[in-house]
Amino acid sequence: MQPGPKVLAYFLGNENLPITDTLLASWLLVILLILFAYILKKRLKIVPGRIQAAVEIILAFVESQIESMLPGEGRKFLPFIGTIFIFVGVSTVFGLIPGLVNPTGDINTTLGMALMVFLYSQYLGIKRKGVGTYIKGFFEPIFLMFPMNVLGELAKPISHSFRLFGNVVGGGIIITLLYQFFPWFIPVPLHFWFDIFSAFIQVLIFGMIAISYISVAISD
Amino acid sequence: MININWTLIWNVINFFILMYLLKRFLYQPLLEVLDKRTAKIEGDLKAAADEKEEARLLKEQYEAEMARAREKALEIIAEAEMRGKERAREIINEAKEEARRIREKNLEEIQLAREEARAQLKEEIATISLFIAGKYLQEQLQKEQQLQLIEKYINSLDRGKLGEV
Repeated sequence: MQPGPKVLAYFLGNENLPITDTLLASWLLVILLILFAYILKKRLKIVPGRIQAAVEIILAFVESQIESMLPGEGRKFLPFIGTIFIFVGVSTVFGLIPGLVNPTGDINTTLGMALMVFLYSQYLGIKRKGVGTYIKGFFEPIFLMFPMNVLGELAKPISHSFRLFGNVVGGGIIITLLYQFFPWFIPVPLHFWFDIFSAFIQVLIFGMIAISYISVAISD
Repeated sequence: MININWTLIWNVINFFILMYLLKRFLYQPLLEVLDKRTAKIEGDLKAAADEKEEARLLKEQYEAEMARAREKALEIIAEAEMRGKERAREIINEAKEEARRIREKNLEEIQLAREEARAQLKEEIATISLFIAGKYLQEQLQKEQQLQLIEKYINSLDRGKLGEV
């Protein structure tokens, strides 16, 4: 058993550009999501249907989460945070479809997201506070804290990405092990636990942490 | 298991493409719909409130008009009653006046008739009196004549026959 992404091919034959099963899954996911959004857009109505209502509830939930930490900026950050919620959320349950894997079971996916959040929050911090105040923030509350603050900041994307990655992979490993011992009964509730329940909690945590990093970065 | 490679960049690119397209296909149109719905609901609620207010005003106006109409009706009835009473009084007065007039006229006529009757009676009495007087006189004369005749006769008798008696 070899958990983790499997390399299926190499882009242009270059060994530095592997195409993994998680990458394929995330491409497929992006295409499906875009198609879904496109079809939904064509059918948007003032009086919503079931699917539109469900999507509205999800987006309203995300917006309310943003609003709770970044008051008045829910609309502004909705595309970024909403896409994180949708992409990570769907990725985490994608593995339930036979033959597909969870893109979030690949550290490259979660780290990519986490680095984006990190860079975006740093950018917003510099933009809102100005470079001087931004750099000064690393010397708070006293000068000696500078290395700790820098480390703390750099640790953010790592903890952010590994938390989700670890949970998804850990759940996957446990299920894989149990498949070998109890192939018929046990995996079903465990799939529910790891791929649905735990996954949604992890997605929620991932999204909330993204919002809180942005919130911390732009707050005075 | 942990192998950081180009998949990371690919996934970031994926994410940006997804974000851009979802923004175009999902967030913006959906938020527009939500805003439209909010505007529509607010508009509908406002319209409903306006209509309710309008209905309330109309009701108030209607009730006020009804009250005014009732008052007016009462006024009209009272006025009609008053006018009726006045008219009745007038009619009664007129009738009384007429009755008085008729009575006076009748009295006058009676008086006149009486006067006339009295005059006539007087005349008749005079005539009768004259007549009676005449008669009486005539009778008296006749009586005297008769007495004379009787006396004459007696006298004649006396002379002729009395001796025999």
